[in-house]
Amino acid sequence: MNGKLLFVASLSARQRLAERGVLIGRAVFYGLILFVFSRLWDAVLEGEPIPGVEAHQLVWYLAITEWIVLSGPPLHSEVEDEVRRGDLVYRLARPVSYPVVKLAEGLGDLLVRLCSLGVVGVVVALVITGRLPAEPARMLWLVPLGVGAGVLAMVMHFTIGLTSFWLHDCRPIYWVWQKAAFLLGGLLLPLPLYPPWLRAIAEASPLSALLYGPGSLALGLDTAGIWMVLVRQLAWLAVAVVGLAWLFRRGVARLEIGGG
Amino acid sequence: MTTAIEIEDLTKSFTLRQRAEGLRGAMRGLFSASHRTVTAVDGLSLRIAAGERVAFLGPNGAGKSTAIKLLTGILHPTHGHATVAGLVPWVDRRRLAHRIGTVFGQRSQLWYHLPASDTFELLGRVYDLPRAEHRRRCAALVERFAIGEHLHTPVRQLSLGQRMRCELVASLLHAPPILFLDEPTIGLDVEAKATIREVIRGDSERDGRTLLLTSHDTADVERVCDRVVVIHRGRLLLDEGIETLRTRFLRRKRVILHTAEPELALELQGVRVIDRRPHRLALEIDVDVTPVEAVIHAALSGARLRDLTIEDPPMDEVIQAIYARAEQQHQGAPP
Repeated sequence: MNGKLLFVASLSARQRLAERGVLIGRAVFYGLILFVFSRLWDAVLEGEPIPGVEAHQLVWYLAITEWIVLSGPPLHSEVEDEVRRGDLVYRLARPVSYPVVKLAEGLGDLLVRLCSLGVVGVVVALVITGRLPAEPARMLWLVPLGVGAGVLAMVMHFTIGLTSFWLHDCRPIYWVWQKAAFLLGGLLLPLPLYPPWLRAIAEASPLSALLYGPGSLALGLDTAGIWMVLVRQLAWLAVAVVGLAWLFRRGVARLEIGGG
Repeated sequence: MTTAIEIEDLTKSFTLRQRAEGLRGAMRGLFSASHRTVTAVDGLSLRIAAGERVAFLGPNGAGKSTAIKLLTGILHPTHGHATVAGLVPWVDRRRLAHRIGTVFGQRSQLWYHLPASDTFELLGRVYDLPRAEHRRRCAALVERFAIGEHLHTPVRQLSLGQRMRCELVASLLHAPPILFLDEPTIGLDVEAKATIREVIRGDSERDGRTLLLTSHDTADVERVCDRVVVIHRGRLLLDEGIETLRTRFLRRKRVILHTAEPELALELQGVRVIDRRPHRLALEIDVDVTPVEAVIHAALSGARLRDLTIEDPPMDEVIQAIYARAEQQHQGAPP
């Protein structure tokens, strides 16, 4: 990443830091979600324990998966706005690539969200469970895994936003993506607890590298497993970037046909 | 004089999807769609010399935005040729971006929660300006546009007028010889509008910058530009100097007479009373029918004049008249 893109990312981070109300609101929501689901699992596991999984592990698991979901910048809606309002047309008249600058902006936003929610997640999960996950030092792997998942989600969101060139409203696509990510990514439950057929589908999708992969650190993922998640994230990222570039070229070509 | 913008027979057509009316039409549209071709810019030819300040006017849908998108390299033409600052826009878009500036009144390039100085710093990097050069230009423009005291205030706390001055500085940091301005005074109060017009024109005069301005506020046109280009349905309708435009199209004058007597009766051909109050009479005169001096002569013979004002009708009316005439011609033209 060159100097100008780093500067874009830093400006974006500063812009997000200036939105203190939004940061606080998101942190409160995150804490609330963790609290509600921790109570739910306590009740469920009290009645019917799941072999090999303890309630505190599920809380830390959810803290990680929700941390990634809530940290993803809403690039889909930003891109949709810019396509619909025509701002994108004017941003194209700059001597820098629109997708690259947009992703740099997203990266700044992502890092602010990851840092702020990361602190909230650790504190709330610690208060709820009263203990750190097993092998706490291993949790440092969350830095590359969280950033990898966040960047992958960001590229996917951007790509979904680009469908606005054709659909004018990308929300239906985003809704499907979001629900698929919750289900196949294993937002609330680790994939080993899924029925085998659904688990096979989930593991074959990029969504498991997004949420379940980093989340399984709370379940004792070993180093080889961590590297495998990182490799899967990178592989899916490469596919997503190619898809984004292709869709962007098609979208801009559409301006030629249908006007700005 | 060198040429800043040259356009030859520029044409751009789009294919638009047609939707049938009603529920049945909407259902049918899900499976089959008809299309129609719209020519937004239709054989436009124009030459703008370096340093000229040109108003680019037309009613909504006339093709102004499409023409500007072609000139900034965002769209490729269906037919024709253009050069802007010596470059073919759609071939050299990235290089051209260094030679043009853009200001869009309804879109901001400033980071909303951050001071404008941060955006200026970013633009210096985006345009690969050497640090010392960037600092020097930034300081000069900040002084010229009088935004020194607002430089470190978050943009969201600036008034619209202050923000627009910052937008102008942002657009000029890379010293573009050509500046595209789209509704630069929209939403501003009277005082802020006057300031913006003054700084835009002053900057252009000082640096010899070519301006291409689109605006629905005719005062922008009068105060900033020397030449008016009107397009209608994608075609060049009129290309005149501001003064020529006035003399050619302003065939009416407004005369306001302040009289010692409370009433003045004037009945002349081509003269219409537009406002009558005690000691004051406002008239609109068709100068092709009755010259202004004949009206004044008639007024002097009927009353003692305390004051007299002669005005041109607002430019608004001139532009409206041009559009209306073009529309009549279009409707009367054989298909």
